[in-house]
Amino acid sequence: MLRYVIRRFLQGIIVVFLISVATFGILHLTPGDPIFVLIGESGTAQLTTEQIAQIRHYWGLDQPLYVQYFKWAGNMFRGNFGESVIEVGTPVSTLIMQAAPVTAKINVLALLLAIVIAIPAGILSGVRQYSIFDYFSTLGATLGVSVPSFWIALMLIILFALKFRLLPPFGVSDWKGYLLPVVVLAIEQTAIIARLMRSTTIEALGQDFVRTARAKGLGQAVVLTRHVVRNALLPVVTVIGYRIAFLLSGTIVIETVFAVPGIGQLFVNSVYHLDYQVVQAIVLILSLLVVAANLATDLVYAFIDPRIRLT
Amino acid sequence: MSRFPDETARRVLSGTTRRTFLKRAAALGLSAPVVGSLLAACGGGNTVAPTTSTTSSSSSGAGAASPTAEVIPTTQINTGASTPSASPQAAAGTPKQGGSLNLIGHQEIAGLSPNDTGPGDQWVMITQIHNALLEMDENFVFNPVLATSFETAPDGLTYTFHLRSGVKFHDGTDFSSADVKYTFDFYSNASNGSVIANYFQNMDTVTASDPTTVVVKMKAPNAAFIALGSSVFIVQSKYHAQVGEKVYRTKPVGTGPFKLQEWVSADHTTVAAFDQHFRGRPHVDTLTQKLVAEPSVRTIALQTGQADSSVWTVLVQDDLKLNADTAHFTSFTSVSVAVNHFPINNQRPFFADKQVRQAMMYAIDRQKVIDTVFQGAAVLATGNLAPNLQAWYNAGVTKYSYDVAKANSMLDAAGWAVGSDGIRAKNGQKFSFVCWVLSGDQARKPEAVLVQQYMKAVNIDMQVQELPATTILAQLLAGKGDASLFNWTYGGSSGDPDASDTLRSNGGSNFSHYNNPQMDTLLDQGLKETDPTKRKAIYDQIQSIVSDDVPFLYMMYWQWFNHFAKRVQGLPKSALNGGQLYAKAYQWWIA
Repeated sequence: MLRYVIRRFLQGIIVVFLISVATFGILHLTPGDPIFVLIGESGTAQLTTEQIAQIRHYWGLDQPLYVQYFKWAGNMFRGNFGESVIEVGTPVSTLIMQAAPVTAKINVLALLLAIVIAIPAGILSGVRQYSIFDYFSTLGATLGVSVPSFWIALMLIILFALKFRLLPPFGVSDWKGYLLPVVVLAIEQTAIIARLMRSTTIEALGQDFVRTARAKGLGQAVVLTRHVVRNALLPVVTVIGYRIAFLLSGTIVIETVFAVPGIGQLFVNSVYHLDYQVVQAIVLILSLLVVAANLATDLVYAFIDPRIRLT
Repeated sequence: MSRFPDETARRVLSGTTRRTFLKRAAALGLSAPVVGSLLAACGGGNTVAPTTSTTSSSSSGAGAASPTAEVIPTTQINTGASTPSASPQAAAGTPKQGGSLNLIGHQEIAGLSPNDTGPGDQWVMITQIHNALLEMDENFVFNPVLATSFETAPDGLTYTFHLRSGVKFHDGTDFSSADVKYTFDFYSNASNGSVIANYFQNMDTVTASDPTTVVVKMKAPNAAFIALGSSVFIVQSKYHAQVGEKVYRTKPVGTGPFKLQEWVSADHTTVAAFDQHFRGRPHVDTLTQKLVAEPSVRTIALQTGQADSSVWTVLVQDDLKLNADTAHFTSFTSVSVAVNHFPINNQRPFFADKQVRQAMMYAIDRQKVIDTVFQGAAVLATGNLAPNLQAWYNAGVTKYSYDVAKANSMLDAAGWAVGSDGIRAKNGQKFSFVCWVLSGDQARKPEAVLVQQYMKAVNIDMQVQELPATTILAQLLAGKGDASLFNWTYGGSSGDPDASDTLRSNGGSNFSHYNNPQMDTLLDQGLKETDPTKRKAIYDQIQSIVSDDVPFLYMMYWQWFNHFAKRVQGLPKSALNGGQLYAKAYQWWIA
């Protein structure tokens, strides 16, 4: 077991390293650099090419790629994520620390909401296959996955903010502001988890041990709680565990529409403006999260399910 | 699914930024009489646009009204007034103290130093925190603010500014000439990372002879110095020298009516009233700008009252709707001086021939584009300067009507014969090019697609591709692109007509790689010419050449809208330059 963990850990390090090199490479291969954002606005700065070169030099953007990479890697190990070029004077770590909690909060709430709705719904669908409830929840799940979230978001804002004046149209300054983003984000997750729960329930219901339990004379409720659900939950728990890796991502659309100052918005703006340090730092953190969450989920899964042996 | 807000794109390349009709109407002093004005709609405060809703396309009102409307008097500079002139107030009420104003913008506030005034949203906050020697108001009048008066030597090589006394910075220290000298010296140097270095072009020395006098000596005349250089915001010199620009832009200290209270760049920026401001404490207690990237959500925020004003425009259909809602909003309409255009790489074989470029102009029904894509909320372009820059605009240039037959015959005459695949070709080279559009540009993508149809009608193959703004700009300048579509100022950004950075062969923003030695000479002469009549003649000729050479396909000048919730009082009756209104936030109060 310990060997397994160490091996996975080392693999994780290699993966993260490769990702950071790839990100760095792609960012710098993209033509253009953040200078144009600083100068940008309709050419009113009227700078000569020499002055532009001076400014690029000031930001260290004219050094060879490998120098820039190693400087960045070196700083990283010392915990210094560098500085944003666009938001000059602000360390990247500050930007991320400001943005991460907001995104995490929304993701956690959305995941909890999804779990609370999807698991009972999925079990019920699985137990009462082809019933009215099943059909409706299937329809709901399909819609939830296919309808674009930004459209749903805008429609909800028009409905609840403009027409009914119940909720704020944007921002998360108070708890009311969290409602709509969390709901919109939860929709797709609910759909996926419900469908998965449904199929694992159906599969569990067809197992021998269920037939045995019924033969023994156990009532439906006991069969469900003690045998079916626990087994059906296993794959779902795995999926949810993997989703924890994405606690800091997947919210780009939501954040843009609802004006939530989270990682998604920070990331998109930074990529768009080629704000290298910020992008690299975020990608690094996200990849570390994914690697860690995957490893943790595998370990928990092995713990829960005695049939699994990790090698 | 990632979806980039169009405003992020638009912000980089939209002409309608603070800067552009940057209140710089232009210089008095040496040069020309200056600028005009923006055409406001009838008497300002009202709409040019039709009052119908977005679905109808009755655009007749908008397009036709603007260019021929009233003549606005030329800009004035108050050289000796002791207090900045107050604009006529719309509401005659007694100002109420207190309250918070809520503004919304479309991008994050990256920094709050004088160097960050390019992006419009940032300028709105920076102008609350700082003051400059001269500041332009919403009617193109330059008012002395930190200066009380100034003189210009007849040869244009010396400026003497007399400074106001009794002005305090936010940290309690006194404002003096040392701060002006420091500011000018620092920001005129590009190796300090200053993107406004060229505002001080040809500046030689700055001398702070006594605490209330600053003398600026120039190496050569610079017609635009008063408009650009003396409008740079002044920093607290000792503090700035101590902490450096990087820290300063996160914690600025100025003389402005508000001081920085809280700054979370990606979310909001809040400024609080400064009690010792030399013009008196502002009426409201705090002013906040929040980031709302999605334009539809900004419209909704205005309609629910959660925001008092949006400092950046919303979608044009919504702008027209808000304009018509006079019960809930006070609206101002202005016109941008940045031209919406297709830069085309003159070095490409198909764009190298002037006749071909002219033919392309004939092939596009530009008025139709204005009416369908922009709901009529734009003015047709006839050259590189906007029609409302009355002091410089030259109407007597080559005009291009919509004439498909003429376009076809000109293309045929230029040797581009239609091939068997329906695309023109010459010497084995197909007339096929890629037009780059900003990623997520909701406003201009439809325009590109529409023009694609016009090109197809004359057998030119145009492909539309989306790329991020920084990539487009870099690639165009490197000569690696065919064409693109965005707004940019080709002269007129400060009200000053100089277009060296875009039209000169070695210009830093010469996207079309235009190379005309005659144009180069004229541009150089124009910058140095001190006689107003002679200067006008030079820029007349420049516009004439632009309309003949067509280095880029100039389409239109957008209208710009500013809406304020009815509860905001103290707004002027009219504004020729709506974007500038936010500089007077210290005069507003909440009803």
